[in-house]
Amino acid sequence: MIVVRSGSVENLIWQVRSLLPQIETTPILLAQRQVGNYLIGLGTLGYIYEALSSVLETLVEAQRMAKDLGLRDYSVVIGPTESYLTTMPIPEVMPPLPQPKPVPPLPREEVRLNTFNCSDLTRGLVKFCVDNVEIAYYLSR
Amino acid sequence: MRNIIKKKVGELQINPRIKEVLLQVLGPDEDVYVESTGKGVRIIL
Repeated sequence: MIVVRSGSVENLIWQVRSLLPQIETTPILLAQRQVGNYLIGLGTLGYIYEALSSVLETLVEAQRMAKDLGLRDYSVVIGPTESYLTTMPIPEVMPPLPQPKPVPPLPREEVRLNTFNCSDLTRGLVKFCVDNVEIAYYLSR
Repeated sequence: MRNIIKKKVGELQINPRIKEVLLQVLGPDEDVYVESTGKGVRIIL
């Protein structure tokens, strides 16, 4: 659960909004799987991304609602299933969020090929090499 | 123009260790296609 006082809402919105692209560009590798010649990385920060996105959405909505209701001093309570506004002065409960930092450029997609001991690849062939002998077969199309 | 020759595994003139494996896996009468790559020989199954 997160409790945010009206004075911090604007700041938190800004902080979460800056953290989201940072999560998007953080590559985390959970597993590697080889499929034919391709090495595929499986990984995601999807759950954290989704949770933070939902917090951001709630904060923006709460701020708008408070403005419509003419509330100046309020708290936003964000729970796992429901969220609400209250004018009761309750203490803030905030998860420790990292400070946003400049987003590094997206890493290029990387495909590592297994050449099975051959020094080069031949279009249309799957092959492996032993000494100077290449054993090859055609890729089915 | 690629120069590919059809041969039987038993007729291949390659490193005997590799030939032995091909003989075991494919048998001596299996047709393969042999091509010279410049750096060595390519055997297309």
